[in-house]
Amino acid sequence: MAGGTLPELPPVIPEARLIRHRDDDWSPVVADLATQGTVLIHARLPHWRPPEPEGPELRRLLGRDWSKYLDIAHEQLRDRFAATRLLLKYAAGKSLGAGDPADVELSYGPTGRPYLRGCDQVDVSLSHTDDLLLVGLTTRGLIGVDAERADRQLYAKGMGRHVCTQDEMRLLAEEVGRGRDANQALLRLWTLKEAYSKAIAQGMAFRFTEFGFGPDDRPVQVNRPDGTPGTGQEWGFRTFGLDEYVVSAAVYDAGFGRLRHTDFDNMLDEEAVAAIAEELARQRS
Amino acid sequence: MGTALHRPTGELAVPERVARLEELLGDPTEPANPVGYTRLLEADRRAELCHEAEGLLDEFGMSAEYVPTALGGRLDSVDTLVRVMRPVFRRDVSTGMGYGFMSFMGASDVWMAGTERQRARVAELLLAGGKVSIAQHETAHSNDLVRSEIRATPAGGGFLLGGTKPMINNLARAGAVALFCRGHEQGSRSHSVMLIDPAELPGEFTVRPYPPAVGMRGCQWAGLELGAGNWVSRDRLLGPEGSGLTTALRSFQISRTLAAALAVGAVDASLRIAVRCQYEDGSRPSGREALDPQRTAGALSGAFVDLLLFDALAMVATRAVHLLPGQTSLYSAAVKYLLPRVLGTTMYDLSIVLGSQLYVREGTLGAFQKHLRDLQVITLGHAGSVACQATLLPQLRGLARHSWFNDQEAPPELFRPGDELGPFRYQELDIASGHDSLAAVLVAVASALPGNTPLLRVFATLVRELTEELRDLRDRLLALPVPAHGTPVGPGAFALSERYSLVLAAAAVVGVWWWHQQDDRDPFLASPAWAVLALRKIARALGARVPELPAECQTRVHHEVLARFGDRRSFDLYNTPVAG
Repeated sequence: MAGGTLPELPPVIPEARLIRHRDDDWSPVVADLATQGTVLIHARLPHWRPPEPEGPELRRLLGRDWSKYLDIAHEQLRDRFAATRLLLKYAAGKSLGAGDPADVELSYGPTGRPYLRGCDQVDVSLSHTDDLLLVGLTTRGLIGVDAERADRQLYAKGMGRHVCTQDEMRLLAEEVGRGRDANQALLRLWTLKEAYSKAIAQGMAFRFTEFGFGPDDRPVQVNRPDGTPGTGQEWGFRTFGLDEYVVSAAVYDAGFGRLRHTDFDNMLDEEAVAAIAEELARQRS
Repeated sequence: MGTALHRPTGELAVPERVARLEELLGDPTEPANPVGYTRLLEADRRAELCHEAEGLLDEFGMSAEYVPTALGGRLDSVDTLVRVMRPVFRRDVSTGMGYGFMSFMGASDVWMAGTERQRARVAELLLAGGKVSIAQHETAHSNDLVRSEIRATPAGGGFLLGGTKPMINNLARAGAVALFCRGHEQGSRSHSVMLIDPAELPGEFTVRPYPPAVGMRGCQWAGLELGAGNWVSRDRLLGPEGSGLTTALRSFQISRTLAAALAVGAVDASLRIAVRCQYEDGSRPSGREALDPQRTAGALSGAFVDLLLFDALAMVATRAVHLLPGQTSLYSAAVKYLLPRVLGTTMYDLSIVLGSQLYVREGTLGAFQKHLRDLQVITLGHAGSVACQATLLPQLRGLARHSWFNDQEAPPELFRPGDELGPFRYQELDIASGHDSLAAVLVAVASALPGNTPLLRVFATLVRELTEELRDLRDRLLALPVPAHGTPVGPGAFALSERYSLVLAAAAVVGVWWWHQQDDRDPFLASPAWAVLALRKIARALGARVPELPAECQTRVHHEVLARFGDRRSFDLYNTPVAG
């Protein structure tokens, strides 16, 4: 269509899909990614804990992450490391049509942000807290996800002033004034901040008091500390409850329109490859 | 066929031309400058290019920079074009692309494949201030930018053109368009290129403006819908029928290299904005807490190192067009592939220095977020990456088997920006190569490194580590299952193409340092500090364990950032005076 095929902005973030185990039905995940450009997946640690923590199958699946896995001294942390990587690799493999998830290579940026080496059709993000494993994938540009326990007390400990902008502090005070739960409001802001700063690969390096979010009764965008708009329609955000957790996701649309294909098997232009192969054969002869 | 580029006589030398352009465009941070950041951002909000900026580029004769000297212009080398265009990209990527780079890309295919008449016509068009446009064929995993369903069906001794392409830059104001069309054949001869003037199309067609998107909003994007009756004669063919893919694969070697090298200008300017934000009074709003100085110093030095390491590969790819035209397909694809991976993240890394200033949309600070948006478009997103991988992957096994650890290393002039380049002939660009003399530099230097200071010992460790990575890459490539057509596909193979690109970047860094430490033409590039930091970044990106560094490394690089900012010199390898 010559008139342009710009997808909807801000980017839509669908509800998270529960994947109970590796052999679960992945078709809703594949469908969300194809139709919405974004999918969120949640799982529980016990279901993804590797059955043989030192076995050859885990070693094969973790690939280049194996030595990092072995370096983790604490057993629980090691289990969680393996479970999150397996979930991410399976999610990527299923979404992109890889026959074997072990073929997907995870690599990490300087702040530890994971990405799929050599396969930038999908950006990925990972979060975990207690038993919850959360993965986000998007074909639209960038994604960040974060999860916290809904009963985590941030407000009572005075965390607000360390992580909130002036405008957000005012918002929290209003919540208290209306007799609402300021801790829930703060958890929402905290997870949004985490999700956004993970999307831009900064983790905690980008100070949380330098950007903020408005109330949840209107479209969410990044605000400057005084509450004026910081980002535009290119960013989409969503916060929701998931069992005993609060989850937020941030997605950036890079403005390239809809991606028609994401599968590995049609990733190379056959005709270009043929032209190059013919030239190499000519040089050899 | 094809025009050679060579150095003319009687022209202003390159540094003088760059200085004249900097003077014409003036200090971009000056609010009253009619082509400064303030005005460029206003134009962006209106989704227009800045008319004054285009006027000044006309006055400078920028279009002549795209025309080979043999055809009456000033284009003598790809390296010159990078240096003359960087001042524009430093100020505004949209102007750089919309005013000129797209014109050059279209024209470049004419210099490469056109008849004498086509070349003369396009040269005349550009020298008179006209625009050339390019509508490339659709590549795998396409997005709106690269999508195309344009076809050319043989009819009546000529071709009937039909189909649509959603996004063509400058379509509405181009006097000539290099239109890539799918023909009736399959495989390597599937496409032909037509050189058309849209105003002369005989049938029905619609030019449909494409809505301004997130980045490069000022560019005049439009879609082309070709209806019935658009018959063109055979003399509109640009190159022989069926040669479109070969033209594209050669053309990409210039366009990928230039796009990557010019993007450096925007990141250079963004680093300058970040330094200004951190150290100059007046940029920071009152009441804002001071940021952790160690962390911001680290972010600024880190961004500078990213810029240098990326520019090392960009410069090598640029000079390889002249010096190693048989191998440029590799280096152009690698540098363009790494553009979002390296410079894309650099921009966000600088955001911690800007803090809430990242969201400012006006004035000098506002230029930062504009550069951030615009750079995304240069990368072409995933479609851009995967097209580069489609160039690399068919060649990697051959390199693994025959080239790596066997080939001679590249010559020193590949790594020294001041060295003379020989003439360049388009016909010498091979679309594939069995050789890689850049990777060979890594291997050669690994066995020759002195280790007489602590810093050099760290450097040697890193070079050896990265050479081992090349060895591992070779083993893994040779172990991949090979399908019938000979090119491995799948996530594992794609991951290896990224690793190879990073190894090439490391080889470029090593080469640039090695050939500068032998003399004193540039004391900073001759010092190992920047190169050690660059190699360490690359090793980390490859997942390798990296050695700790002596503190002097970071200090030396940070001092250089501040010195270049204070002296108004660019942060790239050319270390050029800038207006601001």
